[in-house]
Amino acid sequence: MIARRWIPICLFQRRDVAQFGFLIWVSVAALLAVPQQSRADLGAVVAEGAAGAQFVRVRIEPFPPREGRAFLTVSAQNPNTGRPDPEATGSLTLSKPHSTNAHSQHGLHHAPLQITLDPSQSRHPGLLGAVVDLTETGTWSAELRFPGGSALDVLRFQLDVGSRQDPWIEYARAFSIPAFGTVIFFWHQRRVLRRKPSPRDP
Amino acid sequence: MESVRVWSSTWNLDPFLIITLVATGVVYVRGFRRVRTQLPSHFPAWRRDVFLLALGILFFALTSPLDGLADLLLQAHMAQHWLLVMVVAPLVWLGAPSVPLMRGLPGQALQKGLGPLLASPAIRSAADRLTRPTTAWCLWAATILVWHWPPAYQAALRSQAWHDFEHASFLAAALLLWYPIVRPWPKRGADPVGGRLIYIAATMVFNTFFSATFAFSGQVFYEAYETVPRPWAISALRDQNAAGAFMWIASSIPMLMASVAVVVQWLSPGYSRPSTPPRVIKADRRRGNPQWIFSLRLRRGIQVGLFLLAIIVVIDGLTGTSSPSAENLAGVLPWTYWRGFVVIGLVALGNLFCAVCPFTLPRQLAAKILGRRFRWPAALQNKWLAAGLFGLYLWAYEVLALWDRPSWTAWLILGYFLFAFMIEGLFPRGTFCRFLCPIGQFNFTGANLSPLEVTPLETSVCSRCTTRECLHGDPNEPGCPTGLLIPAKTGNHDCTFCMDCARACPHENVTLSLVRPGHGIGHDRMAKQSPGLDVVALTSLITFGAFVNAAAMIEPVVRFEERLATQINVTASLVQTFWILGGITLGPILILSICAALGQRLSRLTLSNQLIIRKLAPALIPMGFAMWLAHAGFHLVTAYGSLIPATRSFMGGAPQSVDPIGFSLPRFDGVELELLILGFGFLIAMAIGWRISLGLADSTSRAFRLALPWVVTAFLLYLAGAWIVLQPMQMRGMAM
Repeated sequence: MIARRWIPICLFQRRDVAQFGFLIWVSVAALLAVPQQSRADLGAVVAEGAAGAQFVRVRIEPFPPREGRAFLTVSAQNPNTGRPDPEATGSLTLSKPHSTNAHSQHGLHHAPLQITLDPSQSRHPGLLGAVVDLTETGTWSAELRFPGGSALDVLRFQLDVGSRQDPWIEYARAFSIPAFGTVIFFWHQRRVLRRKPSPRDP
Repeated sequence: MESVRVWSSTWNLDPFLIITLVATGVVYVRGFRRVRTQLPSHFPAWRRDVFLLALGILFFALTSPLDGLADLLLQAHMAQHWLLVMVVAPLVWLGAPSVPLMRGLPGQALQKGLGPLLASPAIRSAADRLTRPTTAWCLWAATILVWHWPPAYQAALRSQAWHDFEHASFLAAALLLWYPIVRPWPKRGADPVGGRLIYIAATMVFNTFFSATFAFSGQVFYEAYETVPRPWAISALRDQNAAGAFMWIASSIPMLMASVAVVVQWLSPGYSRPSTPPRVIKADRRRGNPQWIFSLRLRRGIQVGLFLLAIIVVIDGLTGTSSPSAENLAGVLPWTYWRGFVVIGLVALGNLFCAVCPFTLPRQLAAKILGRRFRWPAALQNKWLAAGLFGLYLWAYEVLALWDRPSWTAWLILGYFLFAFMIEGLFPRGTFCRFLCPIGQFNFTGANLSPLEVTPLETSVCSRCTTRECLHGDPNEPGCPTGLLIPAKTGNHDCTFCMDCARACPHENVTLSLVRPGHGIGHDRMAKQSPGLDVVALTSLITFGAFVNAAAMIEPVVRFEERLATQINVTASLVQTFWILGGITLGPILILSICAALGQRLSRLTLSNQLIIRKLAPALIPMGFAMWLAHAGFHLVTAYGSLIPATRSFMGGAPQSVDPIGFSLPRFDGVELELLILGFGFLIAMAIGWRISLGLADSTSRAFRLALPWVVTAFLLYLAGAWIVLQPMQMRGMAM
């Protein structure tokens, strides 16, 4: 009885309401959307391990990284409890490809990028963030340090940065499947339909 | 002399083993002589030789210095296991030992002891079940996995008794594994060559993944090897990698030889093929075929398991860490694992999730409490509301970033349970599944591409049936919850794979059959009518939703949305909302209308545009599901280890590597596989579109012109999908 009183079933028996259910949800969705702010991507894990007194996980977005702007998100957790450290700050040193000796073969100086990791730059609460400009294609070397850690407490990792161009050519083999498949399909249908000249109606 | 003394001293000459092997050899040779005089064609001399060779290799593997070295080197231990599993076991079966071993026993032992025991129905039934390919393979794989689990493996290294048990279980599992491949005489029954080849392939795939785990690992699995002296100064990690490489290559060789032997045997003139291939998976419950497919107890058990899992997800979502969401079960299980497994299950087998859906578990309880007093309004007996809810889900996932808000995900799951409970309690059984559940609608649509379908076993039995228990049920068993009459249904529309129909049918005439995927596309759920506009709207929304959902995660679209939001000074969410709603409503309406009008004009057929859309729009479903499979499968594969840190976090443990085994899957190029899936999706869509067009047109040329705009649309969707998978994509914290 309670259910009968609380469910306004007659409302749904109106045909026009049912037919326009699609529009109803569009309207509801649009209304809901206005006050909401979507969060940003967390990225993909590219490195993890201990650095200083923290267990660190480094994520990058977008993934796979290409030349241009990228967001780094770093989570620093207490290695025993797993809780994030809200006070943590750190620094990241990024060396460009072919610049391990600070001077390239052409004698040009490539100073490593020094980036401060800061909670205010992260788009996720409790995490550290940084925006980096990856200007070259290749394998970048990265070192992550936290204050208080000794020289040995550094997380080193490498970051493969791809070209801005979409790699269509690299996947020519996969693209050949629909092409060959279409040819075979037409050839097969031609053989089949020659034997059966008129298609039958359902 | 010194070297010989050292060498011989390391042999472990276990008298019990030696006596057992010698006794086995003697009994076999004695029996072999007897049976050979009666059946010389079945017992050529080489069978005796390979059996004795197997015993010799077994002796070598278990007593030679290899056994001692196995305590120090993983490679040696793997070589020992390889001899047992990949050499001894097939050689034993090649010796066809069952009859010679029995005939070799003393007469009294055979007649009064072993003979009656082996003839007992229980033993025969157990042996029959154990040697079935699926059972044998699963037992072998489970044995391999359990014994390589570090605590079990290290226990075997510490204790000789456990070590002996390990070897015995390996040998037993290997004998089971090889039995369906070798099929030793007097094995009877059909010889499915294809099945044997698939069995061998499955073994090789398992072996590849398992060995690769060792070969590419960056961490030592067994600490015991780090504490023992390292022979030849090989580090424990290098030893482990080498062991993996050895397992990979060495185990592939016998399997390749076996597959060649099977093919050669198949092509040989004397081979007799099975008369009819078993098309029906479960032909008749009374004929002893797998009963578990129809088991209500099994279904309930899995439902309870998933229900408990949902409770855990809700608890972690509400109480666990919310940042990063990738370390919360509510951020990982529904949005990475569940989605991926559902889509893979749909395409590979059928509507598995609906079959074990936890949301309908409390259905009976809801009916008792709320009484099912109402009829579902006639105006809502269509898919419009479900389509709207599915669109709402797509929108909410993206705009509200559900993947990044574990607590919201938890509330969504709770709300879903409550909604299902109310609807199933107030309205007739199955109302929620058929008219409302957006997950169900997604599964119903995708199941049209499944290779399995619930069908009648014999249509003549259905034509004589007047009671239709499959639809209405009987006092003990409910009928179809979504109102399907089994002989009239086409495809997997609205089928939850619950098997209620099979349990209700008094003629036991409902079965699970292999069908041509996609054959039901273009028809309505019953009686081969055209699908209604509501069904077309739903399937188109799911098809185009696949591309909209994936595109919303790629770098160029995200940046475009951000730039647009800045330029017109609105929130990014609003831009996303218009992108998603436009992509799943206006876009499809426009595209489908253009295709229908073009097709009609080109073919000059007197068909209405609406009929053309109703018939041909579902042909794009394979393209949509190719995108869903490529996208959800990619996230599942690249985030395969995400469960580890999320589970650790839920249990309050210390943070641990995302990569649970130190083996990095990105070496595997997921993009190529995604492109292949999309390519096959296009080909299937084209084939189905062509099949439907042939049915609508009165000539081949008109059918071609009618299908052309749809095939072009499918191709454009393919290109769009290819572009999407080639872009950097939001990984949402879960990839490695």
